Amino acid sequence: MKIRHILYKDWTLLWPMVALVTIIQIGFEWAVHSTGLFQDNPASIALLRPLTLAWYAGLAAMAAAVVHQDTIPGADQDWLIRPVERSDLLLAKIVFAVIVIVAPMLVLNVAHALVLGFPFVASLRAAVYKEAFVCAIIIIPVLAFASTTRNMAELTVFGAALMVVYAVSAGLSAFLLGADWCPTCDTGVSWLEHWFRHAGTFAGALVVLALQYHRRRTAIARTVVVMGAVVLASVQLPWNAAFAIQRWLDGAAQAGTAIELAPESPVVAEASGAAPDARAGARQATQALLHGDVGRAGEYLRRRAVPGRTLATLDLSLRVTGTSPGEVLLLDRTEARFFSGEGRLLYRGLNPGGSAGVIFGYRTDPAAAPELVHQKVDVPGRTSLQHPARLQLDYSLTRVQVVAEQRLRGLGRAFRSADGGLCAAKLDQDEVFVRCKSVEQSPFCFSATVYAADGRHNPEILKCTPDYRRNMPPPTEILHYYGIDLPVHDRFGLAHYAVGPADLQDATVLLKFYGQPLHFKRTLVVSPLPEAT
Amino acid sequence: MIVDDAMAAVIETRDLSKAYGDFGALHALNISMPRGSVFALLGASGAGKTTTIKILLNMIEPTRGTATILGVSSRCLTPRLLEQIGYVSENQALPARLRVEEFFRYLRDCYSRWDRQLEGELREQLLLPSRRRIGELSHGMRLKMALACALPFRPPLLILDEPLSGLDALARDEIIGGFLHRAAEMSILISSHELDEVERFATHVAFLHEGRLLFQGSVGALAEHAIPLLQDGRSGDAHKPSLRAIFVAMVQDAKRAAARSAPQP
Repeated sequence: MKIRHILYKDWTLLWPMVALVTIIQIGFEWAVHSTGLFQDNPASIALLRPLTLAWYAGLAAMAAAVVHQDTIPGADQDWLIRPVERSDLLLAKIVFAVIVIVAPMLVLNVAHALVLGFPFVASLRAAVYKEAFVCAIIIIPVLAFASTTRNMAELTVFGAALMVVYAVSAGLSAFLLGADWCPTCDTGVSWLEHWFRHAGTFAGALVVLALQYHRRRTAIARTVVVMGAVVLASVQLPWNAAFAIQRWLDGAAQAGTAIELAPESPVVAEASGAAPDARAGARQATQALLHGDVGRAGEYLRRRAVPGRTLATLDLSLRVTGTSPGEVLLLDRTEARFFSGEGRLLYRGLNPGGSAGVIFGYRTDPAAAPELVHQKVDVPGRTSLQHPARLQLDYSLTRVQVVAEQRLRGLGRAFRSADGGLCAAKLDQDEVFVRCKSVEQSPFCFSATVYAADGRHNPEILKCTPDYRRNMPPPTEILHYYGIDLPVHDRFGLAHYAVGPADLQDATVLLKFYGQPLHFKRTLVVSPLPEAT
Repeated sequence: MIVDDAMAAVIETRDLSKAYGDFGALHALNISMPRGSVFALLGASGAGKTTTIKILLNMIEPTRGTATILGVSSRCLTPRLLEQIGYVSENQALPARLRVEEFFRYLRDCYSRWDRQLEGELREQLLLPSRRRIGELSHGMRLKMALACALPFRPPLLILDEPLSGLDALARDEIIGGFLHRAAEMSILISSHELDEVERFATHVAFLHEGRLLFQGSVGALAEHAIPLLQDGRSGDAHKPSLRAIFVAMVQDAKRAAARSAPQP
């Protein structure tokens, strides 16, 4: 391996850019640090957004620039006639990127964590893992992409064209697949979809790098890039596969559960007005696209193709049984299917009534009756309900239970918890704001209760955002953030709290962390269905 | 076509062809460059000289045919073999923001047989400014620097692609002096359309016209080959023909032959 001279050359050419990117990284880390847990520094908040953009742009530009010092496409490059092993050239580019991008990032991330008082080993472990992640999902793909271009201008044009290809592929795929487009989006298992995309991007990048640095096949490499974009935009991880993988990953906890769902009262069906007309459908689709929601845009476009059909809404009350106090039941996905009397599928929809990613059951009092939950199902075309029909609801559910508790004393000060990381509580007249930072994966489900010194307490506030990932860090930093707001006073006087602002001096907050997810499915069949009124 | 030299070839092509879409840049080129020769690849702009050299150095792929360089297929050039080839080109993309001194420092680590003393001599002889950035150098200075970079590792084969184009007489003499001074140590392939200059030092020539080889051989064989053409009285002095006169005569002859073979309307 002879890469020292290549590193020397690239450093000599690029050190001003390296300095700039490092300054951006330092500025970003400073802004993150000084924003604070409660985001009460307007200057750093104002800087954070542009610095985040600059952080990504700087990383990508740096990685591209080092590749462009010895471009692959073309026939006039100096390196072609020098005794340079192509594998050495590739290695030199990767090592350069690691030294000038990743190493400063690692130092800054660890330093930031140490300043906040996190242990060195845990901080270093989190930083190494995160920098490896950044290498795999950003730096290597950018190196590969840049290797198919001669300079920044070409890279920008090709990148823009690629984004168009990606957007068109995603839009077409969403239109054709409808509800099945991105089945894992906005669910607790969406990280698997991200993971597969990252893995696919990384594998594709390795193929491109091999093609470019060992064969100099730019045309084939560019084809791989474009095809990769089309595949990534179009191919989705099926829900059942994703849910099964998640169950397998959480295998240790996958014992059986006695949790059941049953309809509590007769189903009510009502006509809920006309579906959007063609023009409205197009407008809604455009708005959804502008918000980046390709799946919803596709759904609106499909509705536009069959306008004028009225909607019917079924309202179900379900009783959840089998949950124990302290357990939380999360609804990951609902698949609703209407069948005719002959068993023909009339309609299929996902997450009716926006029912994905919500808390479906939570019982705190052991003596309380099993909970009632409501399920709404919108059906385009109520005529289908006039036939003898049945409704089948397939629920994908996750149960979590308390795995740790932490009592925070002395509100108004920062405190450290073994499970929650660095936390702090801030008081105002109406609420207690609890905010935490952690170098570990932040809990996706936790609750907080304010206790007065004499044992009085306010209702437990539960916050769950289903996210069953195995530590997939954000690219920019190693710290994870979470927080919860605890009301203690209603300024309109409608609600009364046992622990009010006057009691907060000696109050404590009990934090409960939920984990050990258990994933399972339940099916509910409702038949016969009532006429819509 | 005449091949009059039985010496071992350092460069050899067999039916070498290159097409860019419908345009044929090279048509079944067969050349053989003897070891120790100063081999001039001559032709007008667009004749296929640079294409040939780029194929020889594996910068581009041939559409058909093969090329060997120092006994190895051009498609299999290894870094070890590239240590034996010096290359100077007017199109060479040198790192513009690097200073001359920095580029030499980079190259020293590239080559295992880099002779620093020779580097010093060349830099002194060619008056290269160490602190200037490569991008700030004039065209002639860049070519001189490229030459100074191509010699200190004492390559047995030096390839020069249009090293004289766009240079004033002084710079030409410096460049020519630079590589001729060490011509005894190596074989030299030089492509050029500056026929008068090349005539001063070439031992062998190959004429290319529109991607086709018109002639290759030693300078002596060229004169013999050209006499019948020149005695037609169409091109210059047949007793002491210049390279330019022979080239013009050959091109005209090739054009006449092409016109004759073209289908009549």
